Amino acid sequence: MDPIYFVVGLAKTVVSTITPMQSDITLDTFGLMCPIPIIKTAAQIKDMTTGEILEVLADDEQIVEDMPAWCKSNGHELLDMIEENGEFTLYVKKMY
Amino acid sequence: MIYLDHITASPIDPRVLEAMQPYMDEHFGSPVSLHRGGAQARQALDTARGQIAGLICCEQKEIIFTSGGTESDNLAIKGLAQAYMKKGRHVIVSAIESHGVLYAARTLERQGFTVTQIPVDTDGIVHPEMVRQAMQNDTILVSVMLASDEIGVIQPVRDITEIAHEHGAVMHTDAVCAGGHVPVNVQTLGVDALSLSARSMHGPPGCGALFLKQGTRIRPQIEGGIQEAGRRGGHENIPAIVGFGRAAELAQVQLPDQMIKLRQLDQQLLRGLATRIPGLSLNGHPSKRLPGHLNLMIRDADSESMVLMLDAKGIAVSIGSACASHASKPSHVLLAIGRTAREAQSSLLITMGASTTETEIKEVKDLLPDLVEQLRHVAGVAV
Repeated sequence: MDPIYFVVGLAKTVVSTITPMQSDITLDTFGLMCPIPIIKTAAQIKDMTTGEILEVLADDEQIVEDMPAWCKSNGHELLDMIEENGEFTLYVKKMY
Repeated sequence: MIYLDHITASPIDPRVLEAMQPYMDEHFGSPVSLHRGGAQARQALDTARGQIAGLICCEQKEIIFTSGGTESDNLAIKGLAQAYMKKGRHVIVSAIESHGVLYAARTLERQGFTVTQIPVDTDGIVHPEMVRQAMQNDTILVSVMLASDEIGVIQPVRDITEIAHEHGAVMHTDAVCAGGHVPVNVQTLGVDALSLSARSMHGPPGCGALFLKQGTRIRPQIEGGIQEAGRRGGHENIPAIVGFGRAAELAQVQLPDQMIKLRQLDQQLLRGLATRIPGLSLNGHPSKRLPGHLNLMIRDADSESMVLMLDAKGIAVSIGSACASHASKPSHVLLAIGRTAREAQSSLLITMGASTTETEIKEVKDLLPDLVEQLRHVAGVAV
């Protein structure tokens, strides 16, 4: 992966939020590498009801590219993506 | 052959072999495949996971398959420490852990962690109070084995877990030698991670598992695959895992009777030998230990000579340290309980299994005293 693109991508997508967003369920994928966080997200979203928000914790930086792509192709909304000391917190809203 | 070295290796149960057979030829599919061969393999994996979860009272998804007890220990020690390193870098292990734990802890030291080794008393017990004293603000992980391979001593893991949790540390226990031999219940123990091995319960070699409590973080040590929910990469060893599951299921059923039988036999042998051999004593706690497990210190009788002489008579036993036999150095466990190097090298490990009979035990009881006397005579030792 080209690190420059990664930084640009990160700057574009990360919205700084001071207070964590309210979520219905938390999925901790710490330590797990691509594609496991996405596989687990897909399985978790399936079990939720429309309008609920899933909080995903991850430390594989690949998630910064993977989650927006997955949300886009699956029609769910990525509400926010926060990075703190190499750990990522993402909020996905189930749309249907 | 009278086989009394079950802790080092034990035969695969014929029923385990029978369960494994179809997965070595007929059902060769991989769980990652989308076709029906894959579905069959996934089903086999789930069944085995359920059987092992049943043995230790956990959820199926809390089982991670590995290549054996040593890998499970490595995954637990390095994987947990690396996952919680932002909270702190202090790790506590006991002095009598297996090398899988001790060497993994040594690697952590090279990575900037601090490791405290808790000593044991002369019975080989790790005192929970000593663990409490060793706890620091930055302690993230405690690992104390459930039962020792070398001296068979069973540790107060539940009490130690409580102390670890009071201080916010995660708790791992190596249950490789306990699993299938004494009841192991992760709910009662309260541990966050627990290592198991198939071969120590009449399952196939090359297969083990790590119980990881839901919600506990771990850093995978074998990377590059989606297997085991990404926590342990590499194609699963399906035949061995199927065998492991069956072995766990059988162990669970046989456990109560087996424990009574082996305890009776080890008491019988210990009493018989103690009256016939002067200068014999048990290494480790007299009652808090695995049934059928005797580590005997026989003063002025060299371990290796005893093993070879018994072998010539058709009896297979091990020298006091099952693991370090080839390094020709005294066992770290025997030294930790206060034995001298010479005493450690005069120790004999007798471990019984499902096939052990009273007749066999009687034969050892009759034969060993004479062998010891011969050895002492040759060495010019009067006892």
